[in-house]
Amino acid sequence: MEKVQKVAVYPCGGIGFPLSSVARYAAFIVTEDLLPGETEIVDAVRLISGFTDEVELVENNPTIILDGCAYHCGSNLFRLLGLKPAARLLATVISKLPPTFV
Amino acid sequence: MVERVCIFPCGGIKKTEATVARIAAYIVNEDLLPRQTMLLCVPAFLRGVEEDLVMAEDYPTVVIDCHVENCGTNLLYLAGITPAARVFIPEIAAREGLAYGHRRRELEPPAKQLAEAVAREAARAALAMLENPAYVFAKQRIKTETCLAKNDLPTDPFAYVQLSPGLYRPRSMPDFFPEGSEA
Repeated sequence: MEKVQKVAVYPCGGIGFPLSSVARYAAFIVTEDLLPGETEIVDAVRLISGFTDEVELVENNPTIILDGCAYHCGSNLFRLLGLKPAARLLATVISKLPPTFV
Repeated sequence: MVERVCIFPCGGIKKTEATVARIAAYIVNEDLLPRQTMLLCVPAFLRGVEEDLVMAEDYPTVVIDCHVENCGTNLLYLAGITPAARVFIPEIAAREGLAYGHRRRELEPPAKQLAEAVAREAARAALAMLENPAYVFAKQRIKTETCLAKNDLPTDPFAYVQLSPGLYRPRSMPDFFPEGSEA
């Protein structure tokens, strides 16, 4: 088993609810402050557009999904693409908010 | 004339320009045209959240592309939706002489000014759609058999016509600025 060289981080990418901004901000903190060079943000629209580097990022590395709200759109996109994340964080649980969409 | 306009910032995250697009969309939706615009949420749209499907099908969409990769345009193309207008940030940045900066979390002052300029351009197009009595928007239907991340996308899928630096309209979509007015 090869040692993991990089971990991909995919914040849900939403825009309608403040928690999506929380997920996005958290991903910047991980990739720029906590684990720079060892983590990389997944860009969903580049992935959907089929850019090779983005596709290889999620195919060749484990991905942590940061789901912002109860719609779980980050997890769902991976399911649509036939990918399985290595881990998933749910902002509503971490924030101890009820699983609403606020 | 339409009741509301859907604003779709590209949804990217890697580039600083994507944050400019996102902030510009908030400015349009919260400050410039509140209650007259809606924000299209990419992951919700892909997940099939009803409100996001309806806003793209039943209302004209102004897509904000942050980069030549055209991810916003590409996603709409894959979904079978033709935007009513496209705002292209690099041309607005060039016109205004503003830089993107280097911070993706919070924009630096010139990038904030750029977001405001992008928002004004998107709002200008949206306002024309909202106020021009001659503007007619035909509802669309989302293509449900989209093959994600596997398509060879055309370079210019909607044959965009430039109206002014940074502002475009697909060739197949109606003019939104009143006849005789300057784009």
